[in-house]
Amino acid sequence: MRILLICAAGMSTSLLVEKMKKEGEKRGMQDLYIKAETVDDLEKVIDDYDVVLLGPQIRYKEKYVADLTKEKNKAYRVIPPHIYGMVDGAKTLDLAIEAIKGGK
Amino acid sequence: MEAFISFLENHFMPIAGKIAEQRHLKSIRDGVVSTMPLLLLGSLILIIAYPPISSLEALVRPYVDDLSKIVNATFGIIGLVASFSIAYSLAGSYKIDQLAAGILSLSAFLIVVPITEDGGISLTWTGSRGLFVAMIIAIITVEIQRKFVEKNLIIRMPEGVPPSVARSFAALIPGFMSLLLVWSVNTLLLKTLNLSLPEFINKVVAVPLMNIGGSLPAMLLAVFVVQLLWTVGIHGAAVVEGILGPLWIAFAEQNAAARAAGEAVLPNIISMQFFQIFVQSTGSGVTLPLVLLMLFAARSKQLKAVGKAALGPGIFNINEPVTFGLPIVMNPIMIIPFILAPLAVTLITYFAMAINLVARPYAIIPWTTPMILSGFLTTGDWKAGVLQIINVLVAGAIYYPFLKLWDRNKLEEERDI
Repeated sequence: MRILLICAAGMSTSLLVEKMKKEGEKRGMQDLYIKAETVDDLEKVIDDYDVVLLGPQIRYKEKYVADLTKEKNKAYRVIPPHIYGMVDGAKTLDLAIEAIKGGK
Repeated sequence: MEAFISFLENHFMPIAGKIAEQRHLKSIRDGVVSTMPLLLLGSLILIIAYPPISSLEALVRPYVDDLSKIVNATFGIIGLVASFSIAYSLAGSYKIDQLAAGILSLSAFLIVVPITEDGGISLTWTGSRGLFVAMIIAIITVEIQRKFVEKNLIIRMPEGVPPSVARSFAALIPGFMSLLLVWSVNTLLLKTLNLSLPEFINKVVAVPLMNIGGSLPAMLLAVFVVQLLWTVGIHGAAVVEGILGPLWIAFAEQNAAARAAGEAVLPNIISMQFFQIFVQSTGSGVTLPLVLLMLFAARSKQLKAVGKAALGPGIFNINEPVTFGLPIVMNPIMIIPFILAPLAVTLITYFAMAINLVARPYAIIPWTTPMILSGFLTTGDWKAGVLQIINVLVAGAIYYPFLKLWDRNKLEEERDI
């Protein structure tokens, strides 16, 4: 499973990425790949991922992300602010899994 | 309050988003930001060449002239580099040949840069002073290129010609038109007003813009907008820096140049570092005191947990755990100090630098550098670190009553459960 997190600078989301990786190890998930990138690079890297999670602070880009993910036939979700604020790796990982299962 | 928040969400947010996404502004930002590695390197050399500790100064003095070559080739060429990189990003946004766009824009830039008497390229215009002319030339050359590609007025090579060769032919007609236009305007200005295009743009656009952008009211407004955007959960700094960043970088470069020239008092108070290192210290809203209050003064379990999650990132000036965890976003109580605290910090910092109590920043350092160290490095003055501490204390005093109120709310909620 390949998960991409995006925010403005890729800084605060990289904290969340670490938490998600730890949670994935705890659950014994194999081939889990998670990375944080800036939203400006989304177009370049989106092909490498199964699902895109958007930091709440760049919600104003949601339409752009929605259009791009639709075009590329990928799922996306906006990370809810309270999960993002608590840097909750478990819930974010659940969100990614749900998004992939739940479809576009 | 709720009506106010929904107003922000429905009217303010989309407009701010649109401005931040405007194609030309975005290309200018990306193009200027791409000079950042040069600025960081140049700053490092400046710190070495003019060490903040006086005993070291004598040690490096014999090498200062040699070191200044590196400063010239980093800070001194950001205009030149931006003429390429802005055109490169703008062409990318139109999905047209980026490399050709960058090269043409660079060439057009060099047409208008005045030549020194012995035929050299003048460093006067390749640095920040040439930044505005670089922006304008990059946009003009790319727009011409785009029009020609759209109207299909380009030389097409038959199939089988290598793509790199075909590309260079495709760039011929738009390139010729761009260079001709820029050259004609420049020549016309020289003949009529005795001003070159860069001098003209500086007089008419850059200087007025910098006078406004470099003022205290403009900075207060910028800070206010950043905070307001965060209150609806939007990365305000990313949006506002996108618009004012090029201007702030130009101010920073002027300060660096003045420092390299050995001037004691630097020309600009407002600069990239003023915003990033002082006003945004410990994250938008100067939230470190808030984190400490949550850890040590709050009684709500939830707030203590947020404090714990926020401390580490906060030291490196990342504060999303505070803005989304406390939360500040959409929280009518916490929004008030969140807007007031950084405005107070802006005023204190500005006046401390205006009366030269604290030195003005010249070195550009990564915005994730922890406070106290960051203030010292960017100004070379230990008093800047003290200033950051004072700022945090003032911000803490502003946050305190509001956090107490919010803590009581949270505590009641937790009891009810």
